[in-house]
Amino acid sequence: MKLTAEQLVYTHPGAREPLLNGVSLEIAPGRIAALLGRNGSGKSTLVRLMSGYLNPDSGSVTLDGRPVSEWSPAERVRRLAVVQQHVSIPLTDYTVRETVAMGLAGVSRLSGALSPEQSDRLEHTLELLELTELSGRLCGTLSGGERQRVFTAAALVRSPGLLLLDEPTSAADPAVTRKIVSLLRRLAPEVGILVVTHDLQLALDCAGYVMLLHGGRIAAEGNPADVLRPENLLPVYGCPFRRYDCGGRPVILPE
Amino acid sequence: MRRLFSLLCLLAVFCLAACSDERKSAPDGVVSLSPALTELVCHLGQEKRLVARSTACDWPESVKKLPTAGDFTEPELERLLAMKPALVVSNEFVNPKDADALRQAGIAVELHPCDGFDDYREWVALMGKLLDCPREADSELKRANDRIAEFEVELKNAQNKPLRALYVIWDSPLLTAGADSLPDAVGRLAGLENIVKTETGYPSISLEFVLKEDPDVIVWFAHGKDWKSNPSWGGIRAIREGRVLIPRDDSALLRPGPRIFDGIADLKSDLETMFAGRESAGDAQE
Amino acid sequence: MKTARIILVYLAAALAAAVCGVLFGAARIPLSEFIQDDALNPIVELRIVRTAAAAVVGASLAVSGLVFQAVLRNSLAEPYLLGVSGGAGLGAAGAILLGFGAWGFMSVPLFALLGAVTANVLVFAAVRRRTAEELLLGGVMIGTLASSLLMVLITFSHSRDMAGVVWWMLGSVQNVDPARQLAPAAVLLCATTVFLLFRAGDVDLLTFGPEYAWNHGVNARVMTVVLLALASLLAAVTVSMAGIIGFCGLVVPHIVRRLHGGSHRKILVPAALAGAVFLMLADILGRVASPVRELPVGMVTAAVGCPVFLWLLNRSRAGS
Repeated sequence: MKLTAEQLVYTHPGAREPLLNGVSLEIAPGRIAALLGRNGSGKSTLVRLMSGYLNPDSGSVTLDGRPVSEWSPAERVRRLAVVQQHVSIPLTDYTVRETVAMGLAGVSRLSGALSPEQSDRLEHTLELLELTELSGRLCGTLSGGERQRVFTAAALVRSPGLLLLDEPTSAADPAVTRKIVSLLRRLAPEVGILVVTHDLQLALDCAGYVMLLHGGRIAAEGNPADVLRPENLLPVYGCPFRRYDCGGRPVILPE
Repeated sequence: MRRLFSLLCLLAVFCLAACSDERKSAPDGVVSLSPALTELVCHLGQEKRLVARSTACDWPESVKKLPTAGDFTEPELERLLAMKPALVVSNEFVNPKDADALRQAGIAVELHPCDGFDDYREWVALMGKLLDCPREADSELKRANDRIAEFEVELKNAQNKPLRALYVIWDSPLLTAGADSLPDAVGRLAGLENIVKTETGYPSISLEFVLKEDPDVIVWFAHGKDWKSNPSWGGIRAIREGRVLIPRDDSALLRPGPRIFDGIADLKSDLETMFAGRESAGDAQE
Repeated sequence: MKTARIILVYLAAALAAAVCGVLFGAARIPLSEFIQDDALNPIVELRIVRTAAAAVVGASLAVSGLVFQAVLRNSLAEPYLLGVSGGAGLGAAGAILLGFGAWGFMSVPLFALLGAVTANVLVFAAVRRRTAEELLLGGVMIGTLASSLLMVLITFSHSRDMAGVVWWMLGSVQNVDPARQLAPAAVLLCATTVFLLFRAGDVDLLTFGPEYAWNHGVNARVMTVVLLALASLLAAVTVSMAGIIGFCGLVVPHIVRRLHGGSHRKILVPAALAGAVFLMLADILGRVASPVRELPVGMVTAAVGCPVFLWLLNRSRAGS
């Protein structure tokens, strides 16, 4: 299973300059890729292009060799799951369990009832993201970080082969961030993961591959230890960084 | 300051109106924006004074040659101002400010409702004065009074109870004529009793009320609509049994003008024809 | 409460309202007179048709409003938003004022339906990016244009015709043809409800926004258009037979959602039944309160719906 973007060019409607100008990347099981870049550099747009929600001006996104837009929605989401950064709050509230179960409804939507196997998967996913205790709560009563976990669970409940996460830890406390990192590591052997993040440390800690998006192109990519160096980060973020060594674990901080 | 000015203006208009009244010279340029008043003016022999009419004025046939200066109750201001008639008569204006505008341009405006026989008598007297034809007005007043008295006497001498009637102005929704309306008054003189007694004006009434009241006859004023086409009316006995009377000329009945008495007489004779046969048939059965 | 039990409660309420609708009205009829000369008393027959019409119209409006609010993610969304009311009004007024009413009883409803569907299609055709927000704006614009044209038509009309148009706009379930109007509307309502039950998961997902729905396997753009077009058609059919009845499609879905949560598979049928109950009761209230003069049912729904909605609004503020 493989999600490949090739030479993507995308211009926002009404904009003059393209936001993305020839970006290529590949997501496959066994590897966590991290995508970094400044605010407004087009990271979330890249995720939307790769999920097929947006269509590129030129270039292609293929899922297992077939253009992502040609897959039937049900077949596509069985393979590819996306966790958005922002989700509109619905008019009326659903419980945590209902919301996560909706991730399954996308796969089998003819009857409302879940098969025993689906129920098992639902319970398992709730447990995986430590939502079992919250499962009866209404999503509107949850904190931002808790809600992020609910939407992550809704994406994971179908056991997808590929997972795109747009800033999964932006509202998480350090303990939750740690748990998410370990969860991603646990999933990585079977699931191809792309994490969009501003958290350099998260990228250093869990990613096997890092891409720096700048000016509509990939400015640098490769091994995290090689890419996340002060000389690469300075032109992207416009501020100096320094790398420290904490007992063999690299730490990078803005100066 | 502005209020004072407008007050002065108003005063000036009143003075002008009073002056013209005193001189008693009948105006030549008269515009009637009400079909009933147009008929009245012609009936009083003053058709020559009319210079324009409303789009609804269609009787007598000869007035159709006149230019129009608006719809019924809606004057076309610019055309009227260009025409500069001496007098505009109508029953009401949709926009009351139109009358002020005309008066400010020095055009006399007479706006009075005409919804029944009393209104009609007042209009006849007023027209006699306005158009300087008191003799014609007096004779029309006498004719109207005589004819109404005639109908009343016939009513008093009638042997049968009045027929209970539903006046249909519009079929969907069911708009009917209420207790104080012209059709009510006209129908009464023709020997009918309106089933709508508690509501005034032209109310929309419930079908269930009609079914409960079970009118003897339906007088159909919904010009151009087919009384058979509305399926929800099937339950009304008068509809099922075809007791629906379509007036020969509903404009004669709905317009409080000089033709209304002939209209009533026609309605009455039509009702007599419609029910004479049926009553004798009913008697034979009993 | 289990979904089945909720539906049973609503069904019982609907049956009770229907029985009341046949028992009460302007006239007082003893049960012994329900059958006259081996035939149904015409007054009772009238009440049956009228009550059934109120039920179908109420249910259709509630289902339509439920879909509109979910897909547009707007709590003020109502069934007439996408040009339906303005278009239907224009169609009906055109038929009445241009004299097509003489073509027969069905001409006005057919023109109303035609106007509503045309305005609706125009909205979908005129808005290029058919997101919920842009459709909403396009609908408001086309609706306003239609309403202005309607006003122009009305100013050109004679007072008798105008009364017909105004009455028609206020909404009434009095003049419904059971075979040519009520039966097709009921079939459409049932078909739409079944379709929506199958697609309730999609509706649920769309309430989180089109991107979320896309990421969970819903073709959001297509589904948005399909659902809104279907809901508008449902509204257009009710408008063509009963005129514009406000508040039913706005208030009923809110109440049902608030009581039973958000999952559309669970609340769809209760909402339909609640809409039927709401309009049947409003119609009975109008009939009993004013036995001679017909009260437009749209007036009753507004009089009842407005305070209920305000109460609901304030309650939700306090809750959040």
